Amino acid sequence: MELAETLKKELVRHLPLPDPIVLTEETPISEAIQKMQEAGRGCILVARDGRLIGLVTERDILVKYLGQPGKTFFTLREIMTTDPKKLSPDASLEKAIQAMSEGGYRHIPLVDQENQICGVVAVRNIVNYIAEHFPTEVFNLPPRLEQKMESPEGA
Amino acid sequence: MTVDGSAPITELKLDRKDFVSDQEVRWCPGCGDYSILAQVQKVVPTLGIPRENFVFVSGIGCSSRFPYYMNTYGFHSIHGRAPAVATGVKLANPHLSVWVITGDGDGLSIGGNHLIHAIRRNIDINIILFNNRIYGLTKGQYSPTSDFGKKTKSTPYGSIDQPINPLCVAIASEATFVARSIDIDTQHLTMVLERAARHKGISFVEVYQNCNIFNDGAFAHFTDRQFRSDRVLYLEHGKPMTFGKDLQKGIRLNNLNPEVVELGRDYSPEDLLVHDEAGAQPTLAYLLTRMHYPDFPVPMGVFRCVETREYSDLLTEQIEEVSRKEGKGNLDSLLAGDETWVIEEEGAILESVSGRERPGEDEESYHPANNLDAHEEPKCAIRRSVLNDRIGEVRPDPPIIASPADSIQSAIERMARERRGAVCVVENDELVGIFTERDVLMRVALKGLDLEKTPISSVMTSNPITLKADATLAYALNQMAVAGFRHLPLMDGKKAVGMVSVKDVVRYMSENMAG
Ligand code: SF4
Repeated sequence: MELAETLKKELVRHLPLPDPIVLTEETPISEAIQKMQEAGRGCILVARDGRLIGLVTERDILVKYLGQPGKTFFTLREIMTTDPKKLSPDASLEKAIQAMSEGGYRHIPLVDQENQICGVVAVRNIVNYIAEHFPTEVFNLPPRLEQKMESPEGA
Repeated sequence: MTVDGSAPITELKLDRKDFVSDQEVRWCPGCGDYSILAQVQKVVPTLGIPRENFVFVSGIGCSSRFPYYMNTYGFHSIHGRAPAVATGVKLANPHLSVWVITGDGDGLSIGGNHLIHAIRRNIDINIILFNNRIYGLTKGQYSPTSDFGKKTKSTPYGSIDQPINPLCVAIASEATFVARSIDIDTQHLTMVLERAARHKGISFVEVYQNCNIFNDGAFAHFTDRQFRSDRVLYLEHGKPMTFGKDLQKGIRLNNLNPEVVELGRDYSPEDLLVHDEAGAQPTLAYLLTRMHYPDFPVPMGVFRCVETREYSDLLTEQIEEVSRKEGKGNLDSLLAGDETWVIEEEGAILESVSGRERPGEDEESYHPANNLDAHEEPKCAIRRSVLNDRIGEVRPDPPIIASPADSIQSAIERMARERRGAVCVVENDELVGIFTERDVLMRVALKGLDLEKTPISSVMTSNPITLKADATLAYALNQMAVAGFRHLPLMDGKKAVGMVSVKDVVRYMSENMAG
C-alpha cells in the first residue's frame, strides 16, 4: 500500500503514545516545569474534571515564562494556551499531519466528544511512524553520513 | 540527578556521539546492523558508566565488526570464542561493562559450546546475538538458524536441517535474562538493550536482523510496520498477553497449549495468559519461544528475568575465603611443584603440507548485491521523496546566529521574538554549538542560573550533528527518529546556513503527499 493511503487509514490512537502529563490550572509553573524535566516531555495538558481546558508547551515556558523578564507568572492559567487545537483519537494520521503543518503545532491533544482527555500526539510520534516504513533507508544508516558504504562488501 | 533540581547535577555528560568511532563502517548499505549499532550507541551513554569501562567483544562475522564502530575498548576476537574472551575480561576486571556481539553463525555454530557455558555460569555480561538466519560474511550459506527448506548457496535444494532456536538454547542453559527484539523496532530495541545492560548476571538478547543482501525480508512478514501489531506479541510483565491494533486478540492457555483467541464475545482479558518474567520455572518463557508466525504472533520483549548469584562475585568470594584459610597462593611454586615432569624424547618432525590453490572465484559474478544499484524508481510519492529529495529542498529558515559569550537571556528573547526554536552558536564563522528550546526547558528553567550573566556556551550542545545540503531526507529522518534531534543545522562547509526543524520536514512531506 502507498504510504499516503496508509496515513489516511491509520488512526492516531494506534500510535504508541506515552500517557500525557495532566495538571490543573492552579498548578504552580515551577512544579509543571519539574514534571516536564523529570519525564523529558515538552508539553502539559491542563484539565478541569478530566476535560481539556488548555495546553502548556516548552514554547510557552520559553516565550512567556522566561522570555519576559519584567513579568512574573505563577500558575499554569497565566501561560497556557486556552482552547488549543485538538483532535479525536479516531482522527487519521493524515489529518494530524495536516493540522500540524498548517498550524505549526508540535503537540495536539486528543479528546473525545465530551472533551475528556485521551492523550496527546507529538510531531515526533508522526516522524517515527513514517520513518518505520523505510527501515532500510532511515534506520539502517551509519552513525555519520560519510561512513556510508557505496556498495555491498559483506562486511 | 536529583529530582528537585536543587543539588548540582553530577551525572556523566555522555551522549551518543561519544560512542561513535572514526572507523569507516563496512556493512552493506541498508544492513540491519546499522540500526542495532545506533540503538546501542543511544543506550550506553544513559547507563551512568564511564566510557573507559565499556568493553565490546566479538567473534567473526558481519556483526562481529561491531567493536570497531564503538568508541570504547573492544576486542575482535576468535571465531565463536567471544564469550570466553569476555569471561576473562570480566573476571579480571569485574567493574567493567562487558558486551558480547555475535551472530547466528558465530554464536550458535562454531561458538555454540562457548555460548552455553558462559550462559550457565551467569557471569555479568550482555550477549547480543544478531540473528539474520544466514552466513553473510561468507556470502550466503545456510546458518544454524536458517529455516527448514531454505535454499541457499550451500543448500541449493533446500535445507534439511532443523534450525536452532537461540532463546530455547539460552533458557535450557539456565539464562537469567532472555529477551528478543527487532533491528528496526528502535524504541523496543532500546528498551530491551537497556534492561539487558541493567540486569546483573548473564543477559542474552536475540535481535532479528535483516541481511538485505543474502536473506532480505527474512522477518518482514511480521516485522513490517504495516502488520506488526497483528503479528507481533509485545510481552509485558504482569499484563495479559494481548495483541492486534486495538488489542482485540489474546493468547490463552488450553491445557498445555497456547491458542489465539478473539476478545469480546467469548473471551475477556481475564481468560488470557498473564506474562510472568520471574517465574520459579522457565516453563512459560520456553512455551513462548515456541510460538511462531503464522500460527501465532511472534513474541518480543523480555521472556525471562530472574536474579541468582553472579559468577564474578562467587569467584571473588571463593578466592577471598580460600586465601583467608590457606594463605595467599604462589603461582611459581605451583608451577615448580611436585607433580612436574620432563619429556626426554625428541619430538617427531611434523611434515609441512602446503595448501592447495583454490580454484579461482570471480567475486563479482556471483554477488547478488548488484540489484542495490539498479535504481528502480519507487512508486509511492512519499517514499520517492524520502529517498531522493535533498534536505536543501525543504527550504529551512535561515539560522539565528549568536556568539558563545551572548547571555542566555538574549538568546531566549531572540528565539521568542523571531518565533524560532533554536540558535546556532558561531565563533569565527564556525559553528561551535546549538541551543534549542528543549535545552531551555531541560538545562535552564529552574536551574537557578543568572540568565543575564551566564553565557550560552555553558548550556549549549557543543559540536552538534549537522546536515549538508545534499543529505537526503532519509538521513535527516534518521537523525530525528533515531537520535531524537528536532533541530539540525544545515551547513555549507563550516558555516551554518539554515536550521532544519522536525516541523519543516513534516510540512515538506505533507506537501508532497498532496502533490
Ligand atoms: S552481508 Fe548481510 S549481514 Fe553482512 S553486512 Fe551485508 S547485509 Fe549485513
